[in-house]
Amino acid sequence: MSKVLDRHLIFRHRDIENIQNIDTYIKDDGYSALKKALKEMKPVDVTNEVKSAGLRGRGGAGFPAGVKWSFIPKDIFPKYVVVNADESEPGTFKDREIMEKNPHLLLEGIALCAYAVGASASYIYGRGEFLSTFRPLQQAIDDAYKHGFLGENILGSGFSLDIRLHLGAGAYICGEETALLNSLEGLMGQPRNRPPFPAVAGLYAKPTVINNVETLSGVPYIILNGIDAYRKYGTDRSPGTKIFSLSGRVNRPGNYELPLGTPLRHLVEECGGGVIDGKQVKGILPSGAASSIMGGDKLDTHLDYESMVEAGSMLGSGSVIILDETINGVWAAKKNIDFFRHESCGKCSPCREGTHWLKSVYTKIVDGHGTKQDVDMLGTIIGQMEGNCFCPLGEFVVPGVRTSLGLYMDEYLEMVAGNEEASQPQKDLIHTFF
Amino acid sequence: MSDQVTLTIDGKTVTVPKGTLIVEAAKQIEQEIPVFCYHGKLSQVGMCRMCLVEVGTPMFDRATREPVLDENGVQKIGFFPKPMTACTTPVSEGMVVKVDSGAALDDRKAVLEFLLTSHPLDCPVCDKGGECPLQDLTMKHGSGISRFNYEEKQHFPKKYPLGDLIVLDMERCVICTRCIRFQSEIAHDPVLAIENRGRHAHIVSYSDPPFDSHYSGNATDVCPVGALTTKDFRFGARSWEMKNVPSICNHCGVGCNTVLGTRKGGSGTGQLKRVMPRQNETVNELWICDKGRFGHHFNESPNRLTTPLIRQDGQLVESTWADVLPFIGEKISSIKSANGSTALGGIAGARLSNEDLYLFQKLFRQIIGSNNIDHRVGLNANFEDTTAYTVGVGVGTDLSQVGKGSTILVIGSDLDQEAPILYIRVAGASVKRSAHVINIGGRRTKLDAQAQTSAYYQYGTASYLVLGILASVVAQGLVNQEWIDRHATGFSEITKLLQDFAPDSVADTTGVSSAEIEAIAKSYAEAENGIIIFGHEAGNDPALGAAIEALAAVTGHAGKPNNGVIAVLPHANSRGAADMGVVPNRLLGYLPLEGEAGLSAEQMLSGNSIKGMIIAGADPASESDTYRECLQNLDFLVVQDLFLTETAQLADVVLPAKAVAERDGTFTNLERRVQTFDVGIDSPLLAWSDWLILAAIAGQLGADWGYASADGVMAEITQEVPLYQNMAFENLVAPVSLDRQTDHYIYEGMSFTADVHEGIQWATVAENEQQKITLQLVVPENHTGSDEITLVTPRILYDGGRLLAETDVVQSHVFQTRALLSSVDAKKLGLNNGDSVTISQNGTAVNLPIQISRMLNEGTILIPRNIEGRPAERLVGSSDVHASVKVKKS
Amino acid sequence: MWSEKERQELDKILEKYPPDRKMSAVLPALYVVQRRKNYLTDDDIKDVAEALDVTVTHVHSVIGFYTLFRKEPTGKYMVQVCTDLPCALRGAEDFYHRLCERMEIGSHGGTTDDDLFTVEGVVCIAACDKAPCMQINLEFFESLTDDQIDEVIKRLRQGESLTAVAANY
Ligand SMILES: Cc1cc2nc3c(=O)[nH]c(=O)nc-3n(C[C@H](O)[C@H](O)[C@H](O)COP(=O)(O)O)c2cc1C
Ligand code: SF4
Ligand code: FES
Repeated sequence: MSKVLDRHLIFRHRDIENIQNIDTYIKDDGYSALKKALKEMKPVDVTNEVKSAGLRGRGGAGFPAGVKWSFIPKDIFPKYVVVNADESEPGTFKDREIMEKNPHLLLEGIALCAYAVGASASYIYGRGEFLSTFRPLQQAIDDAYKHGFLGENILGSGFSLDIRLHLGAGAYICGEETALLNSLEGLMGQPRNRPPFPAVAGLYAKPTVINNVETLSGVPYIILNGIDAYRKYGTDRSPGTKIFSLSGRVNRPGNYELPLGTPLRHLVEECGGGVIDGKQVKGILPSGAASSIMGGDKLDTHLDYESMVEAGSMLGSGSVIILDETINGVWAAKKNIDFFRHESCGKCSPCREGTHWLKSVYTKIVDGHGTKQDVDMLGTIIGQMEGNCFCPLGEFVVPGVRTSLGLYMDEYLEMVAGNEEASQPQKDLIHTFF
Repeated sequence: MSDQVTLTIDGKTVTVPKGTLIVEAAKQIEQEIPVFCYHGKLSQVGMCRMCLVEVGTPMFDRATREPVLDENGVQKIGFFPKPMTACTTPVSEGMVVKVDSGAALDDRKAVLEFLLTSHPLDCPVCDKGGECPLQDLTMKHGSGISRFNYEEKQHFPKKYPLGDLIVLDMERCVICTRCIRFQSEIAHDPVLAIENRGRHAHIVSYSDPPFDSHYSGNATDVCPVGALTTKDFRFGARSWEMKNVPSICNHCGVGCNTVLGTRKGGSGTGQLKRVMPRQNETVNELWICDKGRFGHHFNESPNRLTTPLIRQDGQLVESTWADVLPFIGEKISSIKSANGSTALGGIAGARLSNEDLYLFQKLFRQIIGSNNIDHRVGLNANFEDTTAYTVGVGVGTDLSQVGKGSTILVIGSDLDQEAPILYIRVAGASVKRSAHVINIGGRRTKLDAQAQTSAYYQYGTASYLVLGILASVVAQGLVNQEWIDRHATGFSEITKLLQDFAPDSVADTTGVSSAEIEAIAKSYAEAENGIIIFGHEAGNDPALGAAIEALAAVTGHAGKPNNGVIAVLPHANSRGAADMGVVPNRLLGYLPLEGEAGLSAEQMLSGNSIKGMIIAGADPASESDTYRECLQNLDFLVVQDLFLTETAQLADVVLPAKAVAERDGTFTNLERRVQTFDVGIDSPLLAWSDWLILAAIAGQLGADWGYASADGVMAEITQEVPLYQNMAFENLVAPVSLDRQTDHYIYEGMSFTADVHEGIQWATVAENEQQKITLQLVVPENHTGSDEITLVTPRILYDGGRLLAETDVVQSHVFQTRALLSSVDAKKLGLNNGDSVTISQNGTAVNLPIQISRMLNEGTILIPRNIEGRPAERLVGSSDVHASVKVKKS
Repeated sequence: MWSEKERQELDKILEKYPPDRKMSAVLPALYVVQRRKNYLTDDDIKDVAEALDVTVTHVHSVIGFYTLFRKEPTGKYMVQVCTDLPCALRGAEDFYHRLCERMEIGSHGGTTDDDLFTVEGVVCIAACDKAPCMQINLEFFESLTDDQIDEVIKRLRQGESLTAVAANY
C-alpha cells in the first residue's frame, strides 16, 4: 500500500500506539491546541482559523464548519455543542474508530469548538449500538476531567466545559441533526421544521452547533499547526484529509485517511487491494445507501466534494461501497430500499408511503413476479418523492434507484422478462367508491 | 418597514400582515390550498406534504444587492428548486406563489396517491363521508385507478376503541397528528401519541383510562379523515341527510355554541344524531367538551315524562293538561286566600331559559304576589353573584385574544371540571399567548401546569387573601385613581378597613406568603388587562364578592374589553337566572326590591311557613333529607321537569317539560353573553316549554299574558329589563362578521353549514358613564383554623346529575362515589387506596372508600358535590363549600 | 419499582441534563429498566414515566420508535447480525442463515429453545469492514467464522460472562 500521508492527522493511533491513553496523547502534542487557544486566541479567532482552513463538515453535507460556528448568536445563553456520533449510514464506520482509538482528539476538538462559540455544555450523541464504543470514550472523558482539560475553569482560563455522553436506541434518522436533537430531548427521533435552524434554536431551543465526530477531530490540528499546514493536504476547495470507509467487494476493506482529492482508484486499488478475485468494479456507492451509484468507469474521479458532484454523485460521509460484476444491480438497489423503508421515520407521507411502495415493487421484481410496468413504476415513484419529502432521508432514496435504473436496466429487464402484464388485475377505484 | 406584505398567488395579488403563512394568504383570496396536517389552531408541522406549492422571490444580485432585471426591466423571480409547504412558509414581499401550476399540481397528485396507498376507500360506510377533505380531494385530483398492489396494503384493526367514546380506524388515518396536537396543545391532556415508525406508525393512547380527557370528541372534529369517530354517532347518519340546527350547550355556564345534527326518522320525529361545536371565536372557538358532545342522549331516554301526572290516592297517575291546569289554579288560589301569598314560593333551576325565568318571577311577583323565589339549589349552593353586574368582563371581551401584558387571576375554581372550555381558553392564553395566569386555590388543579404562578390558601380564607391583595395594591401605590374617580365612590372608606389586611397578617391566616401576595397584586394591578375568574371553591362568602369587585375597580380593570370579573356559576343559565331576578332579594336587572325580601330556596326548604310551591327544573329533594321532609309536608307541590325526579315523586302535579333541543329560547353565559337556541327535534307529544307552562298557570290565576312564542317573551324582556334592551331575537340572530371561514372546513372551520352568531353581551355599571359603583367591603367571618381535616366539595364535570345519569355513553366516566385524600393524610391514618373511612361532622357521618390523590394538600379531604348518595351535601349542607370534619378508618 | 442501585444510576443519568429537562433521560432510563428482564413490561414503563414526569403514552411512543427497545420477551442474549448491503456483499446473509441453523431456529431468526438467544438480522451496525459481524447485547463480534460462532455459543451457554467472551473478538 503506498503511503500518501507522511502522518495521519486524525488516525494518529495508526502512527502512535496507545494514543487513547491520555499521557501518550499529551506527549504527542495532545491538548496543545486547546492550551494555545485558551492562552493566545480569542474565541472568534478560533472560528476564523477553522473558517480559513476550509474545514468542511464530514457528516455528509460538507458545510464549512467555521461558517456554521459563526452563525451562533453571541447573546443567548446557554449554548450547546452537540456531536453527531450517530454513524448509521450503511458503509460508514469511521467515527467509531476515532472514538475507540483516538478519543482525546475528539474531546480536544469539542473543547475548541465550545470555546469558539461560547458553549459550556456538550453532548455526544452516539447510536445505541455504540454502547461498547462509549466505554473508552467515557474513560477518556474521565481522564480529561482529571487533567483539567474539561470541567470548571479549564487550565485557569475561566472557560468551563462539560461533555456528556448520550446513547440513542436504534434509528438512522437520528443522524439527521434536528431528529438527533429531538431524540436527545427525549422525543421520537423525527426531524424538525427549519427555520429555526439549530444555530439559533437547537437543543432545548438554545443556540446549538452540531458537528460530526470527524469534523471536530480535524480542528486541533488546524489550531495547533495553522491554516497553511492544514491546506497542504487536499484541494483548494476541499482542504485537509478525510477518512474513507471502504467496504464491499474489495480485498482489504477498512478506514483510510487520505488527502481530499485523492483518486478513487487509489483508494480501491492501493488501499483496498483491488477487487476480490480480480473482478471488475461494476458500481461504486461513494456515500453509502444514499449514493448515486457510479459505474466502474468512474474510478478515476477524485475524492473531493466538487469532483464527486461533477461525476454525478456525492462525497457524503465518505463511505465507499464497491459492487463487482458478481453482484446483481437490482438486488443491490433493493437492499438499500429495504434499509430506507426500515428507517423511514413516518413523519411525512412521501417517504413513509414511497419507501413502502418501492419495497413492495422491488420485492415483486426480485422474487421474479415483476413486469416491465413495475420497472417503470419504480421511476414514477421516485419522481413522486423527489423534492416532496420533509427531510433528506426521503430524498436519499431517489438517486440510488434512479442511477441503478440507468446503469443496470438490462438486469431489470432480464428479471421481468416473460412475465405477463397485469397478472394481477388492478382494482378500479371507482368501483370501490360507489 | 411596513407591517404588510404584498404577494401574488396564481396571478392574484393579495396584501396580508407580515408573518402570515402562504395558506392563510391564499385563503384570503379564496384560493384553496389543500392541507391535512395544517390546522389554524394548532402548531405547524408541515408533515403531510399536501400543501406543496411553487414559491419564487424577487432576485437580487448577491454582490450589489441590486434587483436583477429581465429584458423588459422587470425584476426577475427566482423559484426555489423544490416545492415549499404553504402551511409553514411565511409570505415575503413580492413573493410569487403557484398553486395550480403544472408542477405544484403534479406534486399534490403525487402526495395524494401516497396517502391513498393503504386507505381502505370505504367512503360509502365512513362517517366522514360527505364532509371529508380526503374524499373531496380524491374526487378532484385522484386517479381512478389504484396502482398500488392491494396485497401490500397496511392493515390495522378496524374499529379500535381509543377510549370508550372514540373509535379509531387506523387504516383511514393519514398520520397528520392533528389529534395528537389538539390533545397536547389545546386540551393539555397529552394522552395520544404515535407508536412505531414508518409505515407501522399508528395512533395510540396508554393513559389510564385510555384517552383520558374531557375534550376527546374534538379530536374527531380536527381529524381530516374518518379515522377518529365518536362511538355514539358511528354509522348513525350521513352528513348530508342531517339538518344542522344552531343550539347552545345546556351543561354549564360557558355557553358553548353547538349544532344539533338532526334527521327525520321513520316515525317522522326528528332524531338528534350528534352534537358538534359551532364556531364562535368569542365563546368556544371551535371546541366543546365531551359532556356537551355526548351528554344529549337523555333526550331520547325512555324515562322522560310524557304526560302530566296528578296524585290520586297517594299515587301519581296520568292526566291531561286540561285537567291539571285548573286544579293547579284552584290550589294556588286557595292557599293564597287561606295563608296569604307569602305561603307560596317557587324554585326555578338555572337550566331554564331567560324566557322561562322571566315568566317565573313575573308569575310570583305580579300574579301571586310573593318574593319567595330562588334558583340557587344544588350546585349553586346559595351562591349569589352581583360582581357581573358592576364589574363583569367588559363588552367585547374575547379570551382567545388575551395574551402578553394581561394577567388572569383564577381564584377557587377547577376550571377543567367546572367550565371546561373556559379552562381551554385560559390555559391557551397562558401557554400560547403568554398571558400571566395566576391560579389560586386550596388545592392543586390541572391549570397549575399551564399557569405561570400558583398559590394555595387554607380553605375558607379566600376572601382574606383577596383583601390582602387589595391592601397590597393600595400599599404599593398601584391604584388607578383616575378610573376610581370616574366610576366609583367609597374608595377612601375601604382603604381604612384595608389596614387590617396587611399582607403579613393575611399571610398568617391564608398560608400564602406576603411576598406572593405582593407579587400577585403587582402583576394584576400593573397588567394592561386584568381579568378575575372566581368560582365555587373560593367559598360562599359575601366578603369575597365585595373584595373582588373592589379589586377590579381600584385597579381600573373593568368597564373595557378583556378586563373585569367572571363568576364561574354552575348551570347553563345561572347568569340569566340572576339577571331575571329569580332571587328573593332583588328584582329583574339587579334592581333593588322595595319592601321585604322573600325567602331563599334554603329558607323555604328548611322552614314551615311555605305551604305551596312550584318547582321547575330543579331537584332539591335529592339533596338533603331536610329538604325532602319539608317538601313532603307541603300542602301543594307542582313540579315541571323532564324526568320523574325525587322532587317530582313528592309532587301533587307533575308537568312534562321540553328539553333544550326540543324548543327555542335564550341563555346568558358567564360572560353575560345572551345567545339563542333553536328547535332541533320533536319532544314527547304532550311536553310543553317551561315558559308556556308558566303562562298557562298564570292564565288559571286570571292573567291574560298572551305570549305566542319565546321570541314574544323576549320582546317583553327587552322592554322590562334595561340591560336586555338590545336582546330582541332578530338582533341575537343577526349574522356576524367573525373572522371565520366555515366553507374552508379543510383548514379549521366546521364541516357543516349552520348559522353562526356571536351573541350579545349586556353592559356593566363600569361601562355606564351615568352610574357609579359604590365600593363597600364586608369583613369576612372569623376564620378559625382547624386541626381537623377540611372537607372540600368541588363541582365536577361528570357528576351524578340526572341528565348524565340518563345518558348511557358516558356512564363509565361518571364519578364513582368515593373520597379523595392526600398521601400524607392517608399514611397518617394508615389508609390504602380503597380502604373505607368514616367522615363525620356535627353528628352526621358517612362511610366512603378513599382514593389517594396527588392533587390534594395535607389536611384536606375531597368529596365532589352532586354525586350518587350526595355525601358532600349531607356533610356540609347545601350552602357551604367546605367544613371541618373528622376522618377515621372504618 | 426502582431498586436502590437503579435509583442511583438514574440519579447519575439525570445529572447530565438540565433539571427542567428530565425528559431527555427517557432513552437512558429505558435502558436501565430494560436490563431487568431484557424487555420492557408495563410496570417498567410506568416507572420511567413517573420518574421523569412524562406520560405513559409518551414513553410507549418513544419505545415504539427505536429498535433497541422491546416490549416482548426475548432470550437472555439478543444476537443481532448485520445483513445490510455492505455486509451482504461479503456473504452476511448466508452467514446469518447459517447462524440461525446452527442455533436450530430455522434460518430467519427467532429464539432458541433454552430461551438463551434471540437472533435477528439488522441494518448496518458500523462494522462493514469486518463482515460478517454481529452484536450480542450490543457487544461487537467481528470478522466471524462459522467455527467462532459455535465457540461463542458454547461459551455463553456454559455461563461465561458476555464481556469476557466479547473481549476475544
Ligand atoms: C438521514 C440523515 C442521516 C444522517 N446521519 C448522519 C450521521 O450518522 N452522522 C453525521 O455526522 N451526520 C449525519 N447526517 C448529517 C447531519 O444532518 C448533519 O449535517 C451533520 O451532523 C453536520 O455535521 P458536519 O457539518 O460536521 O458534517 C445525516 C443526515 C441525514 C439527512
Ligand atoms: S387519526 Fe386523524 S387526526 Fe389523528 S393523525 Fe390520523 S388522520 Fe390525523
Ligand atoms: S404539510 Fe402543509 S398541510 Fe401538511
